[in-house]
Amino acid sequence: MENEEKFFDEDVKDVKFVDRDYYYRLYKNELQIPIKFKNHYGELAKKLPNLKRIQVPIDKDNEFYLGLREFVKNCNDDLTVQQGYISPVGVATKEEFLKGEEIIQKEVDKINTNWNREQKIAHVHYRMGDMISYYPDFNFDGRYVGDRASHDVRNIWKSVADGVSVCNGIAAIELTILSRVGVPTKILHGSRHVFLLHELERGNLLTDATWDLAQSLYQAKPLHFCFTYEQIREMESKQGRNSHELEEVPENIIGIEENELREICYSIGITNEDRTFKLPIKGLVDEINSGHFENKSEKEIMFLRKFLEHFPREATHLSETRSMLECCLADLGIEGNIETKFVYEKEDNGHRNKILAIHINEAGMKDSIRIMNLQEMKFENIGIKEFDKKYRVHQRDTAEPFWKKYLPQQEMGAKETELQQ
Amino acid sequence: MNWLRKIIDKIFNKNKVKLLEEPKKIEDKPNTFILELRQTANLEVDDGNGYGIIKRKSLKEMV
Repeated sequence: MENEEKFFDEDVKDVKFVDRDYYYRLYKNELQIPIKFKNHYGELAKKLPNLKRIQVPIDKDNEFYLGLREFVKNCNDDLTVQQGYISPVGVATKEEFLKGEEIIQKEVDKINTNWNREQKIAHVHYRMGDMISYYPDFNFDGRYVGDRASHDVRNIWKSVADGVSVCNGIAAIELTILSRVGVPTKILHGSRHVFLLHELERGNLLTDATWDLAQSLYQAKPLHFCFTYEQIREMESKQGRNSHELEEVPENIIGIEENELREICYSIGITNEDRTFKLPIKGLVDEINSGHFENKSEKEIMFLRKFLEHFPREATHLSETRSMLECCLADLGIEGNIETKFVYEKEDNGHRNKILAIHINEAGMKDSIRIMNLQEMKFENIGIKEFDKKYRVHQRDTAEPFWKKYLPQQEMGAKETELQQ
Repeated sequence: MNWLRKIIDKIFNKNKVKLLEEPKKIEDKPNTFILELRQTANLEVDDGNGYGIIKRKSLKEMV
């Protein structure tokens, strides 16, 4: 360790290096090895052949990450990059880091340097749906929030490289992009959810890009952008939720009225000239609604087929597509109860292949379930009995699967466990 | 084991915690049981990350 110290500059603050051999000694001795990136990135990396892990912050300026990327490129291939160093969260491999950084840098380059802070915030908020799909923790076989799998999914570079994350990762990705373009941003921690606070001269703005992923993916109006704390709490309280409840409410929160929201979005190119949001899927729904069909089932089948034809990329973002399809089916006049669920084939013990299942409790439709087959880009219709034989919910999702109640009574009786009421 | 199940139901909200298997007795330890409980959840709606699914919002409200 002492021999390595001479390679570091004196006034380093930003990055804490740890080496597998030294990690525990560093931790126990509370030593930090600082580094300030200068032009000798490659040479420095070569002098640390045993370096196994670095811990890096996510709120630095762009120059910092440009230097960091050059450094990591020259490190050994076993290097891992951990996010944060006060409370480190999640680990990315060197490959994930470099891929993630490349994607993040492309996003930074898309931001017009002449935009004001509101425009930059709106742009990044709206980009998240394209970059990331929400991926619940249990799909990583994380036994509990806090184990290794749950931590890693929150690492921003891994999240961006994989295209999936949860609220912590999504908020952190936004924060790193906005920090790199000079917008001061903080992460707010509710009891079960995180979202963002952005600082402007006129006040602070609250945004939640996680809850707007479907909106931004499908180019709809953002519903969780620059709300006041009272607004979001009132809205979610009606749904019986408290995701945004904070122990300490930040001061000087300002909301943005709808007109201003539309002007901001128009100025960054995400609305039409009349300030309406593009929402191309509405055009498809309108087209289907103006057609003539024998019955609702035929109409629904036509819509689902065309949906996959027109939105194949969006369809792979399952959580967001699920939300949007429920809204579309309602607009198509489906009045019966629409239930959607992620299911797995019973042989898929590792939960590798999440499948979206849709059931509509309406005459002519209620005896079957549609599943979205992304390998063949089509919806398949399966009878409920056959569906129940082939598919199940996630092993850790112990809520009663919705389709059980539609099974013939004798089937239900045979399948009930002695623990059911 | 019904008596044990009733106790568990009283202690825990029975909609939230599910007894997975019959409690197992330990042969050489009288009055001792092994329980395996799991918290139930519709995990996609309440997975602990506060994810919100837009429920039945009209597309007109999103334009």
